[in-house]
Amino acid sequence: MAALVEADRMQVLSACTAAENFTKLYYQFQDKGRHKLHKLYLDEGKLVWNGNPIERKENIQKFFEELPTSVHTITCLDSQPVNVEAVGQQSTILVTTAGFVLFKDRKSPFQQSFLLTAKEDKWKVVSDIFRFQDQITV
Amino acid sequence: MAFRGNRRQQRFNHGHMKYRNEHDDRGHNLNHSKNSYNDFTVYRGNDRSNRVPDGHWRGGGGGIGGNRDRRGGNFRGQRNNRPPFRDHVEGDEGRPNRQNMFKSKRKNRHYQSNANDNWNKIVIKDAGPLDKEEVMYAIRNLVEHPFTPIMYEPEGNNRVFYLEDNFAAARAIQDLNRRVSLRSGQKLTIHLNRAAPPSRAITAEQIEQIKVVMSDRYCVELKRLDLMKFHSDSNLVKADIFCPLNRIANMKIIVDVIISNIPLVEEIDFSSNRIYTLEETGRLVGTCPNIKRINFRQNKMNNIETLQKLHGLDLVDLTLEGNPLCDKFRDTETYISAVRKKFPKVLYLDGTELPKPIGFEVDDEDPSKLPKSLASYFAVPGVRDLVLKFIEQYYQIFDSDDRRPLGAAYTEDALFSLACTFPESGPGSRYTNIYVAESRNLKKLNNSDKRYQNMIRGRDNIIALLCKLPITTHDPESFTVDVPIAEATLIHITLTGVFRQLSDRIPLVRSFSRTFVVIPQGSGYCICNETLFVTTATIEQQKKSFKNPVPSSSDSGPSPSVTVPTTPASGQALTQEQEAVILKFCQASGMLPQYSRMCLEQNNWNFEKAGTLFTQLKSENKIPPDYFAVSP
Repeated sequence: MAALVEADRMQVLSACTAAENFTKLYYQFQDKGRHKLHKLYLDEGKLVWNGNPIERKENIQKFFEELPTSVHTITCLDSQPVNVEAVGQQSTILVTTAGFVLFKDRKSPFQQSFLLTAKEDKWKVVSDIFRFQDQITV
Repeated sequence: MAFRGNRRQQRFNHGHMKYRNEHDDRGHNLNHSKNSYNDFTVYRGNDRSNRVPDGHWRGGGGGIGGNRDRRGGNFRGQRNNRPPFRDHVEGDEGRPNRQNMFKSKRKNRHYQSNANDNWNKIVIKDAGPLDKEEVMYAIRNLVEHPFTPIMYEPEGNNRVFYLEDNFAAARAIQDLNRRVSLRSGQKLTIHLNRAAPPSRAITAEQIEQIKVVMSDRYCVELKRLDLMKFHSDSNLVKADIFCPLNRIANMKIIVDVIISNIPLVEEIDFSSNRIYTLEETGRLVGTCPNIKRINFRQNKMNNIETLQKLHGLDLVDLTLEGNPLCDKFRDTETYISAVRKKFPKVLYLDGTELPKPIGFEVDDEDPSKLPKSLASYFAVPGVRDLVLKFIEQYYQIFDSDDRRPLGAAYTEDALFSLACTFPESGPGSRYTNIYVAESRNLKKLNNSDKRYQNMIRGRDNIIALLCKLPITTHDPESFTVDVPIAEATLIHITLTGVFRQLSDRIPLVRSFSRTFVVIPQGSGYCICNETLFVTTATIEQQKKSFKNPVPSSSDSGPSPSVTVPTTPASGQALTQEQEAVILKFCQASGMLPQYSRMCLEQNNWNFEKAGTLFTQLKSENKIPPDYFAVSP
């Protein structure tokens, strides 16, 4: 039983570490190395950016490269290992972030949610949902 | 050496040579000023000018400024017999190339702009009893130079008037001392002084006259206001109003008139006004958005930064020549780019068309180029109804006073965590303890044990926590749902929106973002992972939120009796009747719903009693201003 709790704890804490490492890289790439972003996504990864759906990592890469220069500030981060019932032995974590993004002069609060799955020994983004807190829908 | 005469002779020649040269040497100059002073023709007509060989002055160029006065500094260039600005010579000889033309134009302007304030005061002794018209007529008759007497006014028993930039006329008038007789035979005693320009505050009555003059100077068809040499406007001079625009108080009057009468003006000519500051002129930014052309020719602005006051005007055509600031630039290119930094749309500078600016594509970067935000997205259309139904049912229970039924929505060993960011002070910081205590913000929570503990594991624990959270009302119209993955085995959902909590003393609007990982279980679906993020709403969100009344969620349960007093701090759900009373009280008192509720609760929901208490407290100023609804 104690071993089970210990395994559970390990899983939870390693999800935290993975989330920290991932977000550090992800937002660094967003702000200073967009050309590398595709490396973080699964080939068939999915992005929903303020309601705009983009599929496959090469399209996601192209989409991000066309955005104006950004500066992200992350104020909140949370992460959970996704339940075995859902993903079996495929290690998967849920990462959620909140913060501010500056596009030129416009500073917008945003929230973002990722599902990451381990492919070989790398975490890859399965799905990525980004929303400005102010919904500017048309 | 051309000059052998006495100093006065030199001075005199100097003065008119300036004009000769301006004419002769600058004839090819595109920018030959149409604003040449009246004296111009007078000097040309004077044959003494021919005594000076042209060559002598070529180097000095047409720029020797204004009518020189007796200050010694003006003669230094002559004594040394060399042009003070040698590089100017090339510009004047032959056909100048574009760059040099620009440069030489600016150099020339420099000379003129450095001209001293040449004001002379003519004093007519003991002219008190004499008729102004007769005196002026007698003087004009004997003075060949045209002149504009400004402010004929008493000074003791004497009468004085002023001349600007017209030393020749001033001298000619002085020479009439004791030589001009009136009809009575009385001879006039005339003295000449150098003087500062007269300084008189503008009266309210004069402002009306100034308005008339301005309207005469405004061309409706061109939307153009001509303020060139405003202080010597003949109508103002006739009315003995002296309103130089280099005095800030005067410019304030002018700008006020512009803003309130002709806000659609497109062009203003401020030339030849000795303006050195744009303190008041800056108010045109934002009030007269159509201004496209401004002429500041022949003014006294020393630094390009002076123009910062006008930053924000979409100027297309700007003239600055004749201001000292022009001369602060080493070359034309820096001059142009400094101007364009302030006014990127300028196409004509000092009357010359500028080459089109060639920028970089990155400069076009513009936040409006962000892709438009779209409404909710569902990867598979069929999942839409399922997800929306799930959310509707979930919040029906979540916003009620009993959240326990939500247990059915979670798997046995589901994971839940909550994170929040709130301001550390101000209204948004209040009543956030519960969120802060449970917050699992990994940015702040470094302790591994805490990170583990704040992860809520298992259905029962999750429900226990959800029940601890304050009672809420969510605004379903604020909900946005994104579902990028909707597979048979797993659905990834995020939901964002706003809510209020009844326990907040100020029912401020909060924002949330929730992520669910949902898996099929039995015949339906259950949440196996969930994160909830809570923060304060942005102003934009607050404006848009709760536009329509949210249906009460407690109508399914038994309603507590209206007369039962509830404790103010309780998060108990309200009956529809109570909500109606609160709404009515809000409208009557202007207070925010939460305070209206507080007041009603304290008075056992007696509307009249609560109203009396409110009126009493309000008259005693005991109700803090933040209890009242304020427009965002």
